[in-house]
Amino acid sequence: MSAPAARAETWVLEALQSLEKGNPEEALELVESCADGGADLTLEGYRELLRCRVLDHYRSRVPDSACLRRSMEPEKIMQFNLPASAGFLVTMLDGETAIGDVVALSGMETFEAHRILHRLIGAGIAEVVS
Amino acid sequence: MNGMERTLLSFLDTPVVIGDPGGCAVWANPAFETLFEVSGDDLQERPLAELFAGGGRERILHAVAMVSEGGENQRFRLRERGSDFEAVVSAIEVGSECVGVVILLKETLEQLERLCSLQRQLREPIDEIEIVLDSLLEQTGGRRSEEHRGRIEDAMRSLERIRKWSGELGDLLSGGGSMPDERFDALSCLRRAMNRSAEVAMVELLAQPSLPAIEGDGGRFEWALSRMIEERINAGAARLVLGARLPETGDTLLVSINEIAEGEPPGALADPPDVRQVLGDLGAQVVSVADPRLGRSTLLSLPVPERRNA
Repeated sequence: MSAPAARAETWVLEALQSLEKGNPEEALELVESCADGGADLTLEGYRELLRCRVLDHYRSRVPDSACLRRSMEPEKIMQFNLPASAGFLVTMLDGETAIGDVVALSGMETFEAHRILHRLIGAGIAEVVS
Repeated sequence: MNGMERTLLSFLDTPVVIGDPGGCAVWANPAFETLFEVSGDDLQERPLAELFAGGGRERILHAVAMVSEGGENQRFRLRERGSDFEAVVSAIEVGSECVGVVILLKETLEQLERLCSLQRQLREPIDEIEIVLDSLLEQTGGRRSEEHRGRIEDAMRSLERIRKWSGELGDLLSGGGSMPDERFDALSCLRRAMNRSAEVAMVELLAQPSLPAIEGDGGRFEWALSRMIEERINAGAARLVLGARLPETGDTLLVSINEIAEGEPPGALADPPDVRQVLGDLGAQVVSVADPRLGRSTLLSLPVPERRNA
């Protein structure tokens, strides 16, 4: 086994351990951090499965039918120096549009859009409308 | 048009260019800049006529003139940079005055591919009918069979006409032999394969909204995908997630069929030889990864051809 392949295998094992501990996001980040631009297809296969698991995890926390709104003033949000994609999604959070619709309307890749929305919730920039 | 609206247009994968009523470009989104290989600075005040080639140039200028004079939105088919588009030209109005035009180019590859695929699929039944007619002709002998022979010969001549028209249709669809009969949109194939399976299993598609065209026969790829999905549903998969994305290197397209399972290892599975043959013909690498905690992912890595120029 080549050195990169052995390293990838180690990281996959670590990722699966994180998954067992109930942390699928950490598992996915571990696999992504050693992804070799898509060259290692085994690694990409694990990446696909973990993306599906993380998406389920997001949806179990906040369903697609829930609505999000901004929870801070725009001036304060600007201090986060959000990437353009996150800033774009922030502009779509009106407290009335369901997450599933925001993701579909954004034209972004489904998983990445969900990931950004959940990171916005995690950072306190967005909140679920109860 | 304000800054916010321009920002929204920047995110669109559909090429958009904004012009003034005099027919000069004012702004274009990144998708347009990439397709037409121009940058924002090159574009300012450049006549729209310089951006489009051949007959497209005339149609764009005509549409801009119509819209600027207060006419309705204009829609027409346009072929640019090796792709087919539906162009939509609409006015930007302040009060009742037209202050500019928006030109949106919506790619129509999907319908064209479907037609190409149907045209290719016609070849097989035509060949089969010809074999049957040949065989009938051989078996029909003697005086009493002259009438039958005549009828079969009529049918063969009709078949020859169908073959000729099918060939002409193929030439027409391929735009003189240089276009997409050899390229297809994998995302459309995935969508159609997903829709076909939606009644018997839970199937979801996670894909980037726009992906490069792949070289090969889209009809056969779609058939192979549908077979693979069917195999997995028959093997007990209750939920499937289909994926399509470009990895960081961008030289391959990764298409995945993911069987979601928790706790139970997925059952053994081998895709049929004819499916493997189709994937092999497309130059796809196939890898399968299974884990009892996650499920199984079958990953197809398809080579992305270089972008065509005009």
